[in-house]
Order: sequence, then C-alpha cells, then structure tokens
Amino acid sequence: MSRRRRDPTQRLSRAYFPPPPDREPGLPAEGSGFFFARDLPLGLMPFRGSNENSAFSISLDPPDTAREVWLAELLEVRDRYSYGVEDAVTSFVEETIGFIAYFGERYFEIASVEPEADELPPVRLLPLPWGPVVQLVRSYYQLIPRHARSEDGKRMVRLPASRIWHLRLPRELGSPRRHRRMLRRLSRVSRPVPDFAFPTGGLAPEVRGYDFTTYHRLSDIAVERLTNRWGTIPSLNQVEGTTEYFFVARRLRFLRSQALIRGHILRELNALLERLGVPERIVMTGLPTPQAIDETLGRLERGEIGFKEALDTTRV
Amino acid sequence: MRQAPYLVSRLGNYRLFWRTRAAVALVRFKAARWVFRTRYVGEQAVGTALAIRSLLSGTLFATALALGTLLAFHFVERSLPGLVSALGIEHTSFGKVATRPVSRSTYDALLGAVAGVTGVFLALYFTAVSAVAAAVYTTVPHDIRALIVRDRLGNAYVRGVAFAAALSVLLLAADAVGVGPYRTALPVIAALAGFSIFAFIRLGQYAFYLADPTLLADTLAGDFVRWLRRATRHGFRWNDANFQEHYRRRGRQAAESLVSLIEISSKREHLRGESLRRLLQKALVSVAIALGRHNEIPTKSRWFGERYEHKQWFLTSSSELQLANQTDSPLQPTTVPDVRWVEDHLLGAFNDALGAVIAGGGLEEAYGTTTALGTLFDAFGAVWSVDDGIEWTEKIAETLLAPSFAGQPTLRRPAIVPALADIAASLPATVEVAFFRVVSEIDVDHLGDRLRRQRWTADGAPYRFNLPRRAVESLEKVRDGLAFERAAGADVVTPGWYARELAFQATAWVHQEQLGAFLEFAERWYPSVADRLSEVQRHDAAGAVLSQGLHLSWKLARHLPVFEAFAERLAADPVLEDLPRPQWHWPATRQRVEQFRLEIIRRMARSIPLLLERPPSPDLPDYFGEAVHRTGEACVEALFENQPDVFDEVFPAYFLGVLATVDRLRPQVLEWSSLETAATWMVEPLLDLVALSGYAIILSEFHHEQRLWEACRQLWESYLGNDGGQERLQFIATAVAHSKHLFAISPRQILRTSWEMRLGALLETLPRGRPRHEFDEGPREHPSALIRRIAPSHGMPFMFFHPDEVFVARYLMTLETAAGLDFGLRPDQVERLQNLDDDQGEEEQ
Repeated sequence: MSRRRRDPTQRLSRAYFPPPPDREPGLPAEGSGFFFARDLPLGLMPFRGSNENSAFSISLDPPDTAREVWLAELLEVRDRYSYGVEDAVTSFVEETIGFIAYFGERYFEIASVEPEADELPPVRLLPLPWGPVVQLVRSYYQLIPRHARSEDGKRMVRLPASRIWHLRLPRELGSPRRHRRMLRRLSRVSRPVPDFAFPTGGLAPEVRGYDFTTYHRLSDIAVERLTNRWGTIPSLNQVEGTTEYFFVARRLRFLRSQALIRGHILRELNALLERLGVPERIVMTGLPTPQAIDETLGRLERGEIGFKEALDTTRV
Repeated sequence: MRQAPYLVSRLGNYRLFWRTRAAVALVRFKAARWVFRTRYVGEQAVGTALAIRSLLSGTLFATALALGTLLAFHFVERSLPGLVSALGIEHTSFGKVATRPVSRSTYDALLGAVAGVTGVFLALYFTAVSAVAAAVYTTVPHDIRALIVRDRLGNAYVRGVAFAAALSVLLLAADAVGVGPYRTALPVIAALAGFSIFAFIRLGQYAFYLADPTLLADTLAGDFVRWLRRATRHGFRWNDANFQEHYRRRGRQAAESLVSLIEISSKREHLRGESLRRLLQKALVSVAIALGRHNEIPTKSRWFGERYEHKQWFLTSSSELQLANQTDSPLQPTTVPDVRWVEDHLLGAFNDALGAVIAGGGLEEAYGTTTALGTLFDAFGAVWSVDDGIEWTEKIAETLLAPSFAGQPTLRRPAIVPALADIAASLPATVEVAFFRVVSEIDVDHLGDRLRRQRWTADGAPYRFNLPRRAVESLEKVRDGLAFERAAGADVVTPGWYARELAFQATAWVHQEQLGAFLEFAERWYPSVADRLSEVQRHDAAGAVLSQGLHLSWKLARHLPVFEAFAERLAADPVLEDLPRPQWHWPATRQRVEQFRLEIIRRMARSIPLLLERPPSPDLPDYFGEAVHRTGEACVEALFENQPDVFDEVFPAYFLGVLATVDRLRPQVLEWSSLETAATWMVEPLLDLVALSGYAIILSEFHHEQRLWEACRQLWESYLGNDGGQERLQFIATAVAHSKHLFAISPRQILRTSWEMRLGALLETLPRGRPRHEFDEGPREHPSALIRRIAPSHGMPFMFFHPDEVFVARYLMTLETAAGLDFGLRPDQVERLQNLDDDQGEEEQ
C-alpha cells in the first residue's frame, strides 16, 4: 500500500513554529505537569510490532481496501506514511494525544488533495499549530502571533467551519482550559523545594517552620487532588505514604482515562467520516473499555481479584 | 496538625504559610502542654491524697481517740458546773478548777506549744532525713537522692505538720491583735497536734527504711511504668512527637535511676540479699511490662528514641534524590526507632548485677534473683519477640553459668550449680510456651474478619490486635494511606481486605522467622552448653540442661501441628496471590525437632558413664536415672522407627546404665522389710532391658533389619560370655522368673505395657492371608515366622507372647550356660517361640 506523498491543493491556515521560550512563555512543563503530559500518550495504544495483545485490531466496517488507502492519507498528520488502517489510526491517536495532553484540544484543517484517476477524492488533515483560534458564527479565526506573521502582516486567518475539525478532551475529563490550568498547577505544586526554603544552599531550611517532609507530603496530596479524575500519574509510581492498593487502583483509574480518550477519539473520527460523507466506520477491538476497567475496579475493591489479575485484564 | 490539605498544599510554596503554620503549631503545642500539665498536677494531687489517706488510716484511730477524749472533756466541762453544784463542792479546790473559764493566756500558751512542737517535729524529720542522706546517699547520683525528697509519705506529713504550725501561729497573731480566742479552733488545733504526734511515730519508723535505697525502686518502677503507659495508645497525645519525646525522656530518667540503684546495690555488701533481689525483680517486671505494652506504641514513636541509619544512593526515593541533586548535598541518614532501649538498659543492668553477685560467690543469692525471669521471658514470647528472648537467654545463661564454665569449685552447696543451669535452660522453654500460647489463642478467621471490618482511621486502630510489630507497621501504613486518601479527596479507599492481607503476610513472616530462629537456637545452644559443662566436669549441670532440652523437644514436637495450622490459616484464601509469603517445609521442620531430640538423647546416653560415679542425693534431681530412662525410651523409639544407627549408638549406654542402676538400687532396698517388694523394685530396670532386647529381636524381623538385633546380641554375648557370665545369667533368670510369678503389677509394668500396645498396634496393620476354614481369620502376611507367630490373633488386640519371653526363649535359653535355669516360662511357650513351624503354631493357637 505504498503511496507517494501529495501536498494539499490549498491550505488556508497558517503553519508556524512556536515562539522561543524567552520571548513568549509557553505552557509550564516541569515536575508533575511534565510527567502527566509525557505519560498520557504512553500505553494509550498497543506498541506496534508487539504480539502481546493478539486480540487488538482496527478495521473498517464494512471493509473497503480503497477506503483504507484513502483513510491512511487522511490521517497523515505528520510527514510520515502509514500503512493500513490499523497503523494509520494508531499513529494518528498517538500523535494527537501527545498534543492534546499538553493543550487539551487540537484544531485540524480539512484540506483537499488533487485526486488521481480511479481514486476516491482524497482529503488530508492539516494540524494547526498551538495558538489562539476563535470561533465566531460559522467561521474560525486563527490569530497569528507576532513572530509568525508573514510579510503581508495579517494578524488572523479566517477558516470556514466546514474546513475545521476540532478535537478536544472528552467532557468527563474536563475542558481544555481546565486541563491547561491543571497542568500549570501540577507544575507549581510539585516543585521539589520552594525557592525560599534554601536561598543560600544550606542543608537546613532557612525559613522558620518549613519542613521538607511535610512540604513533600502536602505536595503529593495536591498532585493527587489535581489528578483526581485522571488517576495517579504513572511516572510517580507509588506515592509515598499510600498503600499499594491505592497505587494499583489509581493506576487503573489512569488506564480508564486513557481508555476514555481512546474511545472518544475514535468516536470523533467516525463522526468526521460521517461529516465527510464516508459510509464506512472505524472499528477498534481488543482494548479495555472504561466499562471493563470499572468492572475490574469493582472486583478489586471487593477483594475478588488481586493486583496482578487486575492489571493483566486491563493491559493494552 | 490537621488542616485543609488542598489549600495547605497550594500554599506550601509561600514563605508566609510556613511561618503561620509554625506559629499555629506553637500555640497548639502550648495549649496541649498546659492541658498536660494540668492533668499531671491533678494526677500528682491524687497521689498525694492517697498518701495522706495512707497516713490518716495509720493515725486515724489514735487521732479519733484523742478527739473523743477532747469531746469527753467538752461534755464533762459543760455539765461540770451543774454537777459540781449538785454535789455541793463548788467551794472546794476541784470545784473551782472545774468551773473556771478558759483564760486567754492558757489559750495562747496552748497555741504556742502546738506551734513549737510541730516546728520541732519538722526539724526532727528533716534532721533524720538529712542524717540518712548523709550516711547512705552521699555517694549515689543526684537522681537517686532526689527520690527521698519526692517521697510521698514524708511530703504529706510535712504538709500536715506545717499547716498545724502555721495555723497555730496565725491564731496566735489574731489573738495578739484582740481577735479571739476561738473556742472552735481548739479542737481543730488539738486534732492537728494529735495527727502530728502520732504520724511522727509512723514516719519515724519509716525513716529507718530510707537507709535502704532499694526501697525507692518502687517509686522509680512506678514512674517508669506511668511514663510508658502515657506513650501507649491510652496516653495523653500519644501520637504527638513532642509528647512522645517528653515521655521517653522521663521514662528513660526513671530507668536510668533504676539502673544506678542496681549498680549501687550490687556493689555494696549491705544492700545485697533481699534488697537486691527485690530491686532486680522490680527491674525485670518493669521490662516485662514494657514488653507487654510494646505493640501498643506507634512503631515510629519517639518513645523509642532514635538512631541513624544511612541510605544508599540507588535505593532512595526520587524526592530525596531530587533534593540532594538540586543542592549537591549528601543523602540525609534516616532516623529509625531504637526499639530495644528499655531491654538494653534494664536487662543489661540486671545481667551486670547478676554477674557481680555471682563473681562475689553469691550463687544462692543469684538463684533467688532469677525467680522473676519467668515473667520476663514469658513476655518475650507473648509479644512475638522470640529472637530477643533467645538473645537474652544466651547472655543471662553465660552470666549464671560463668563459674561453672570456668571450672570454679562450689564448696558450700554443690546443688546450686545444676539449679542455675536448670533455670538458664528453662528460659527458652518459657519463651516457646508463651509464643505457642499467643499463636494458639489467635482465631485467624475471626482476626481476619476484625481486620476487614476495622475502621482504620479510628484512634489507635493498628494497635488493637496484639500482632507482631511488623504487622503493626503494615497496619500503620494502611492507616496512613487512608489518611492520605482522605486528604487527597481520592475516589479510592483502601479496603479492609488489603489490611488483612498485609497483616497476615507480615505475621506469617514473623511467625516463620521466630520459629526458625528458635529452632536454630535450640539445636545449637542446648548441645553446646551441655558439652561445655561436661568438659569442665559439671555433669549434673549438663544433665539439667539436657533434661530441659529434652522437655523442650517434646513441647516443640507437640506444638508444631498448632504452628502448622496457624501458618496454613494465615496463608488461606489470599486475594493477593503474588504477595511474597513464607514457604514452609513442615516435614523438614519436624525432622529438625526429631534430630534435636536425638542430639539430646545422644548426649544423655554419653552422660550415663559420667554420672555413674555420683551417688544419688535428695538435694539433686536424679539426672543419672533420667538419662537411663530417657535413653531406654530412645532405644524403643529407634527400634520402632527402624533407626539402627541411633540404636547402635545409644543402646550400649543404656545397657550399662541399667546394670549400674540395679547396683545403685541394691543397697537402697536392702533394708526394706518385704524382701519380695525390695526384689521387685530392684530388678525392674533389668526387666526393662530384657523386654527391650525382645523388641530388638522382634523389630529386626519386622523391619528386615538385622543390625537392630545384632547390636543388642553383641552386648549380651559380651556380658554373659565373660567371667561371671554364669552368675549373671542366673541372676537374670531369677529376676525374670520372679516377675512371672508375681501376682501384682510391678512399678514399671505399665510403661512396658505401653510399648507392647504399640507393638500390637503395629503388627495389627499387617495384612491377613486367605482363611483356611470358615472361622479362620487368615494368617498375618509377613516373611518372618516369628512375626506371624506373635502377631495378635483371634480378634484380640493384644499379643499372646510378650517381648521379654521372646528374648528369653529365643536367646537366653539357647545359651549353653542356661541349661537347668528356670526363667519362669512354661515349656509350651518356649516350644512355640523356639519352633516357628507356621501350621503347627496357628493350629495350636
């Protein structure tokens, strides 16, 4: 299914690189905020080439080889070819969630590609760079930051709503704005030591009453509170002062959040296909659903299964 | 400090937050300190009130009598004018005195006298105390001296007397300015004066006791236990590190004073004896109480004090690593609780004092001090501290047996050495029994239910189950985890089954470690101590150790099924199957216990020739007799269990022991009035040997192991084949014949019958062959004709031939020297045992 990469016929949105950090501060990405954004895409989809999960498959319903080629081209969100629907969808989900983990949402421009003979009219999804996009009536306006403005000096680009696909976090996991706020807070509360504690680098804190252990514990509590609806950030492993049960149950909770996102992206993709008039739907099987994970959590809570079984049944 | 965790965690990056928090914590601490002080003062007041009550109870009768007398005077005084006038003696001198009103000057003089007398009493009391302090307490540390000042009885007296003096002075002052006299004050003053006088007598007697500082140990031990109790979950703010530290400091102060007192007493000759014994017992009981409370104290409580433990860079949590990395600083060492400080302090002092007493030749005195050791070692087992019990057994045993190990002679009372060895060797058994008791008393299923249902956030929840410290630690983690979950507002709540899993896992590990440590100790300690004592010719002491060791092996063998059942229940129905749990190898454990028993038996057998020369003494347990008896039982066991090597090793010693026993019994029964009774008692050990030899024949046939009989036969051949063999055989024949003609159950017959019942039961297990006729039950199937002949038959559970008859008929009577000797067996019995033709035998039976 090897194909030649083709450029879209016309791109309305403006692609640009993010500003240098010293000119415009971006999202804070340190401490637990960074861990969260880094961990969210990990394990969301099965590792390609691994035979661990033989039940996993992504297919079109009904099957259509020509449409699979079309879909692979549609989902080429980056400069890389994907082979087959499974590969295409997996790549798309991984790349997209890597972005959404930081920003909570992503805009795509739906661009046409010149068709070749005997081919379904190809379409490509062109991701918009992270920056302000405003919806007004039936149009979207991409605001161009100063550093990215071209010689014409345009400050915004109008994008018809029909050409925009807006993908965001499932509602259950919060709005994009709330998500970004959570990341900022995570970064703030998880600093190893507050700046004032050791101003001269001494071993003992120089603020009366400051206690590293208490600070650390409070920091852990704050991180857990902020990620309550998500589950514990996997990189933090077992948080000190918690039980192994808590660790496993919160790990399952995180897997559930991932399953929720996975299902949500798939639903949104199918909605996009419907919007584009495509009759086929993408079907994904062999991965744990939020309902299955809920059931596992319930069984674990009742003591019907142990940690190993609980984690095994929810493995991606 | 409880705060809104989320808000607090958000504010943690601000300097002001930490300052405010510290200020709030200080205020809270001060408030708590005030509450504590108030309560403490209250407790002290209760203590003082009790002391006053004690003083009053001692002086009440005398004071009441004085008051009664005063009242009598009062009533007589009121009716006296009427009485005097009725008698018409108002003009006599008596009538004048009786009706004269109380003069102001008399009133003043009385008050002055009371004030003076009470002042003198105070001075006398302090003089007495000072004299005692100067004579006895000059060389003691200040904390011991301070105990006199804290003496409650003295304090109560001083306060009462001081009050009387002060009241008198005030009344005098009032009278001096024209207020008074108060008639109602007189009885009060009189009562106080009475109290002062009579209480002074009691206190004067008590002052003599102050010359013995060991009596102050009560105060110290009481203080220690009170501070300890405060550190447990029942104490005030027991979970607050500041208070824990305070309790530790005060408890440690009391413990150190007790240690000082022990050191002083063990060094001063006049404080030895009863005083030191009482003092040491106080120390032991204090440790036992501390051990009992051990698992009610948080595992990280400051009560335990702290010691440092250094971390490894590659086994350190990320947060600490980050901090060290960020500041280029070394890893901070972890502070871990010093959980054994009480034992180290008090038991260390006890052991040193014991050593000093023993070094001074006071073995009897040392023996007297060891009576409370049982309570202490029971506590070790009861709180799952078997390993500590083992450690202290070794230390204390080394101290108790030091003169014996050094080969020092004991001139005064030789019996004291084995007595001390017996005490030392009984300590492990005390630990084991207590450990067994605590394990057997746990209903694992019920405990599991309790652990599941427990509300872990409740105060002191982890300390309510009498579980080992490691299990308590696990439960504390569950509690802390739940507190974290609550603070984090998480939707996850650690369930009760998880607490059960952790507690059971930790308990299972502790159970295995403690039992393993104990077995390892028993296997090593008993034989080595017995060997060391034997090397220095302390065979009686070695006998005491072996005797206790054998008894311990018996206990262990009987306790193992309970330990096994306990381990199985702990491991049953796990939710977390991959949680690492101890692996048990019970057959191997049973084998270890059996081997331990055999090791003891071997040494007992070896001790028989060594103990032979010692005449029996009522002052000492009969270690020789015990060794012979136990070795005989071990021979029987080896025969039944088909252990030819063991039998070969211990039977010669038994043989020798039996012959020596007969020789030892002979002079003792010589003067008995009944010759028959004397003969019966004297030959009993020999009959044991004859019977046991019969078992050697039978069981060697049964097991197809000729070595069993061969080992026995060689000894008999050697014994009967040498010079004097004919006379020896004659004696044996007479003894056997005597037993056969005896119409009574001989003293050891029941013991031998139990061997026979065991053999009968064993032979009963043999399958039967095809019956030869309708009423035939079929012959026993065994290659040996002898076994087929003697096996129980005709539906009877017992045998028709006894093992001693087998030995006599098949061995002794076949000897050339046996011709013409009467062994008391019927000819037909001999015929059937010697001629083992199957058909004939069965038909005849």
